[in-house]
Amino acid sequence: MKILRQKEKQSGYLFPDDFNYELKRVNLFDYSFFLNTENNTFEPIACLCCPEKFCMNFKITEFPESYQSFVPTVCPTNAITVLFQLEIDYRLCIGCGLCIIRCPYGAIKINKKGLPEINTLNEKYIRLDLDEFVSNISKVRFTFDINDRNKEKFISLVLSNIRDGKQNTIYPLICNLLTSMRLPTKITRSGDTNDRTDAVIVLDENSIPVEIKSPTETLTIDVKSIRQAIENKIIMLSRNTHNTKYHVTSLVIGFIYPSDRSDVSELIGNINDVWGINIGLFSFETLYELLLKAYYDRIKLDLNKIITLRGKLR
Amino acid sequence: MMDIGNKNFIILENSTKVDSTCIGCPDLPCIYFRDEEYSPNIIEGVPHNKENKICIVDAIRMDDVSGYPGVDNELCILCGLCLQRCPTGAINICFKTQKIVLNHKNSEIFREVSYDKNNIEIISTYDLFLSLPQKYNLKYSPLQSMGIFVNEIENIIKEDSYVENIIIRNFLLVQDLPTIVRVRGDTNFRIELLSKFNSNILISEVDFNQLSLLETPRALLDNIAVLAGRYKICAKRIIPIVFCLSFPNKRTDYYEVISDIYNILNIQIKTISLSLLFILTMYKICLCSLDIIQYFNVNKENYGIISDINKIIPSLNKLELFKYARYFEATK
Repeated sequence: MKILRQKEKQSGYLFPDDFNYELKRVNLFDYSFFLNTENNTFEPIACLCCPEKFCMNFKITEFPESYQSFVPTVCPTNAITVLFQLEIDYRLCIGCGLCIIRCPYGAIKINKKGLPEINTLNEKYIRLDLDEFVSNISKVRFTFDINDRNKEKFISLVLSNIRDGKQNTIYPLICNLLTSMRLPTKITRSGDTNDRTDAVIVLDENSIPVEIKSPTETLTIDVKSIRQAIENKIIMLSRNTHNTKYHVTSLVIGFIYPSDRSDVSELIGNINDVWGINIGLFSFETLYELLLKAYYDRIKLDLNKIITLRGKLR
Repeated sequence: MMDIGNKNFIILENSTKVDSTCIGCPDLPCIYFRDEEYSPNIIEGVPHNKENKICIVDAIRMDDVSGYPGVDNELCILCGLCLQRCPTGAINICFKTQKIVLNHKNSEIFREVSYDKNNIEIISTYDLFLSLPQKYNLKYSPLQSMGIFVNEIENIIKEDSYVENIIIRNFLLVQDLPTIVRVRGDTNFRIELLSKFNSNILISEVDFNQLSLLETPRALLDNIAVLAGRYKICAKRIIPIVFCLSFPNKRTDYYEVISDIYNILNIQIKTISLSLLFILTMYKICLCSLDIIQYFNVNKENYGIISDINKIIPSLNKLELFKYARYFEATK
C-alpha cells in the first residue's frame, strides 16, 4: 500500500468498490490494525483527528435533556487536548485508561508503564484520508477480539495507577466511568447542603444517589459508607432533589468489595429486612469490567439489574 | 425532706428532726452501682463495659481514717450523681461555694447494728430508707452548678472522648434506667448505649463534639437495622436518642436530616443535651416517668428543647435559663 501524506490523496485508491477492510483490535497494549484482507496486508491505525473526538468528549445528544448541561469531558483531569493533533499532558494524566477504551478506532494504546499513547501522524504509518474513511465507514468491519487475560492485565494496571487517587481525581473518574456506560452521572456541588450525596446517576424516574470512596479514604467499602448511603437515599426521597422511587438503589462505589461474611454485608441485609431499602455496591474493578464488556463485547448493561441492586452485582 | 442547697434533714418516727447524715450503707450506693444496674440482661451476650463506679473522676472514695465516704473537691466536677444516690441526703451542694459536702456528724445514730445471723432478722437501715417516700424541694436554681459541670466535662472530653459515653450511662443509671455502654475501643459492636426503658429499648449515640454530631442520626439508623435484623427486636419498640452537649447551628443540616428520617421512615430521633439530664436529675425527674413520645422531638421546625423544659419544670427560672441557651436550643 502506498504511503499517503496528508495533503496528497488519490481518491478512490483506498476504497475501491469491492474491498474487504477490517479494523481489528486484539490487544489493548497495541493499536488497532487496519486490515486489507484482499491484499493480506495490515498496518496499525493512526489517530484520525475525528470530528467527534471520542477520546475527549461524550456525545451530548445521547443523553436525556435533563442531563445535557452536565455532560463532562471524558478525561477526568482534562489531560488530553487538541491543537494540530491530539496530545496528552502526562503531568495531568492519571492513567485511568478511559481514552484508550473510548477511541473506537483503537488509535490509543496503553504502554507498559500504564500510560496512554496516541498513534499520531508518523511517516511510518499510513494515514487515511479522513473524509473518505468516514464516508465509507459502513464498509469497514470493526472487530474486537481481546482475550480475557489481556483485559485483566489492562484493568490491574489501571487500578494500580489510580490507587493513590484523591477525591479530586477519583470523583470525576467514577462519574465518567458510569457515564461511559450510559449511566449519566453528575457530581454534586461541594457547597450544596441540600444535595449531600457525592454524585447522582440522573435517570428520569429512577435517579440513584452515589457514595464514592476514594482509595486514600478507605480501601475497602466499610460500614461508614453504608451509613452514608442510607442517609443519601433518605435525603433524596425526602427533599425530592431528583426524581426517584423508594426501592431504587443507593450505591456505594469503592476500591475493594467487603467480604461476604463481613458486617457490611450483614448490615445491607438488615437494612433491607427492616425498611425495604436497597444498598448496592460496586468495586472499581467491576466498573472497568462492565465498561470493557460494553465497548468490546457489545454486552449492554442491564439497567434493571442496576436500578434495584442490593449488595454486589452477580 | 430533702433540699438541695440547704441542710437536709430526716424526720424520725418520734417526729424529731435530725440533720441528714451518712448511715454507712454496706454496698456504698454513693460510690458503686449494683450489678443489675450496669450489667442488665437487655440482650443476650452483648459485650459491655463493666466499670461500676458512679464518679467518673474518682472524687468520692472511702476514707479509711473517718470510716465514711469523702469527696475530694479538687477532683469533683459537680455532676451531682453521688448526691442523688445517697438515700438520706447526706451529700449536698453548698451553693455559695459550689462544692460538695458529705455530712457524717450524727452517724452513730444510724450505724448498722451487728447481729447474729442465725437468730435475729434485721432489716437494714439502708433498705428502710429506700422504701420511704421522698419529698424533694429545690430551694436554689441548679443552673449555676450545671454551668460549672458542663465546663468541666468539656475539658475532660478533650483528653478522652470515651468519657462522654460513661457519663451518659451513669446519668441514665441514676435515673433507674438499666443501661449498658459499649466497651472502650470496641469496633465490632456498634451500638454505644442500650437501655431498658419501660417496655421499650432506648438506643443512644453520644457526641459532645459539634462537628461529628451530624453523623449520629445515620449511626442510629445502622443500630436500629442491626437490632431489628440481627436481634429480632420490633422496630416500634426502639427509641433512638442523640445526646449532645450544646445544640448545633441551624445551618448544619442536622435538623433537616432528623426531619427527613421522620418523613421517610417514620422514626423520630430525639435529641437531649447533657445539661437537660443534669437538671432532670436534680429535680429527681426520671426520663421514663415522662411521656417520652411528646418530648425532645427536635427537628427543622423545632430547634431545641426549651419548650419541653418549660412544660416539665415550670418553676425553672426562664431568665437564668436564657444565659445557658446554647445547651437547650440552636442559637444561630
